[in-house]
Amino acid sequence: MRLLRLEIAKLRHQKRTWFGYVALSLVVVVGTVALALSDSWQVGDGTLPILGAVFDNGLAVPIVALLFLSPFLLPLTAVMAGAFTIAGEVESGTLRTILVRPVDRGRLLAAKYAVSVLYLASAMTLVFAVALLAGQIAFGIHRLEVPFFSLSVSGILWRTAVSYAVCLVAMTAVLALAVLVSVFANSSLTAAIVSLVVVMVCQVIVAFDYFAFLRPWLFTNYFLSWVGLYLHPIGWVEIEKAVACCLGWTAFFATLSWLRFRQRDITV
Amino acid sequence: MVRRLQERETERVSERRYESVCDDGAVVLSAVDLTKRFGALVAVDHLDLSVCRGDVYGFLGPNGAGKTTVIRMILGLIRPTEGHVEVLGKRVPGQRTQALRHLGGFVDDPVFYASMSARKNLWLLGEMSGGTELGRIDHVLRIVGLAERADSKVGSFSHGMKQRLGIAQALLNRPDIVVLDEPTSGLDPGGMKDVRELIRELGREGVTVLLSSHLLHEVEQVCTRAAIVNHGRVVAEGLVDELRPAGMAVKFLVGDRGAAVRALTGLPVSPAIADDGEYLVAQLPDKAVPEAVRLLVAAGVEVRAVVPAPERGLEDVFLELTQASDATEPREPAPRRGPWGKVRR
Repeated sequence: MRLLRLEIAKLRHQKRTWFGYVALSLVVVVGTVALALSDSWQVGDGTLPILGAVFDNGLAVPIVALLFLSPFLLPLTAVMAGAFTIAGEVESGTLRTILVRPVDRGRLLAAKYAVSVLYLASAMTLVFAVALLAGQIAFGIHRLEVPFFSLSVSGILWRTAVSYAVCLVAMTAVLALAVLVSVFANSSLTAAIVSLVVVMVCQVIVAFDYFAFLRPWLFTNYFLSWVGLYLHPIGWVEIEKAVACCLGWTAFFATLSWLRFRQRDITV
Repeated sequence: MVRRLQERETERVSERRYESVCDDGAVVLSAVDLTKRFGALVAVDHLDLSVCRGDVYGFLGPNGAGKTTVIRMILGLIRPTEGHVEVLGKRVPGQRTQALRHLGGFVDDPVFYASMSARKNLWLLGEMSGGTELGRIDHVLRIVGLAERADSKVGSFSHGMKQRLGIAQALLNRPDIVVLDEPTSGLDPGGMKDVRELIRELGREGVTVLLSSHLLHEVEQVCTRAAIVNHGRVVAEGLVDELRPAGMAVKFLVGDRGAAVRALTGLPVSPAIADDGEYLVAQLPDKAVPEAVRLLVAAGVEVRAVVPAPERGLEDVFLELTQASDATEPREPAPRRGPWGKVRR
């Protein structure tokens, strides 16, 4: 807990923490303003009827925000958070300042990983809150009524909260990948670029039918698995598969990171 | 002749390496058969050293000798390929965390979180060692002369101030052993003097200090014992006073140099002799000088002058030993490092 507290203190002092929050909030606000000023905009491919309410109900704004952030901006945020954990400290030289203290390397890595997840979770919570606020201001909040779908305010809010949580699980796999690359690299930029390239290659693989047999095993396949929450009936099976696959990758990447970091020579 | 002098010096020091080093047997820090290879490059080669309780121990060597690699292994930053370090009975890397509870120090330039104040940085590092009271933070900041800048962001500090803060963090948790890597680097003359006095003061208080430095006069001024390292090996180790050449150097201006060398080797203790082109330079105990002159005269050597040579210091020994090992071993190129931290040849 002590290390966790110290890592949080460090996170609070980093400017990039606050830039990340501001950038994500800004994207949501700009997107909501664009929605409010637009009157003929098609959201999605029609498979999510709930999105039809986006022009008259603020409750749909957090869902639209997640739909647009999930494929790229949230993975990018996860990659940046993960890439800085070790490589960022190696780059600045502070890792050797820390590691000459009687700190267990495994615990340090765990604390850094936990704080990165916390950062990601707080960033997504902020997106949710800003989207909800912006949606209320722009469209108001009330019971959601669309063809074949009727949900109370509380019903839509818990589904949205769960969808953010499912998306967070998918993003923690991306984060874990970036942490793994980070424990090998001396530069946070190198770690971020390599992680992004891996994520993008996996996304390309998912897009081609030729590689359909790989889809169930790739975490990038599940970035949008949360949309099952807005189907009738809810697609729990797909969501459970998504959570299991992403947690499996997270555990795999975290184990490799731990094995490597314990043995790593700090020569910079 | 110069070569012979070097060989004798190396032999003299090598013999001493295997003697008991601490009077009371209190070795607090030791490196045992320490070896580090980066691919084909041998950075540290079966190095042994012992630091006694209360030592201010100088760790000398030219650039690329392996000093920093040894310090990194002592501080648990890199893992030895062979051998280990022992700190008050705790092995590094096996018991790294326990060993580091007894150590404080830094390697290379100390680095801190630029967006935090000096006080906040020390608090953070103190907490990582199990917690530090705020009074102690203020105390160490006063010791290094940074009390007035305690709440300034470290990003605004000069190199010298960061160096001082590095010493402050090394002292923060009252370690038994302080390991300092070039602590006076980047300091102005006044700052250097202060730091050296501080290191002497630590030694007087019973804190053991391992001081890595390339400044020979610094080690001569501050340290009680020292090791000279080259090509990853200890080429000399002992009390600083012992490492200095024994006796005095005497220059003989003579007629037949060959005959003079033969005559001088007839002394009861055969001296190290070097030919500087004009004089024969012999290392002699003070009382052996008249006997040397008598032998030269008796051998029919024309003695034109006997001149005391300038006093030899640790620097001479350092140069002789490091040049001697340079002459016998091919020098490895400095490692290059890729973006993944891998050492490339």
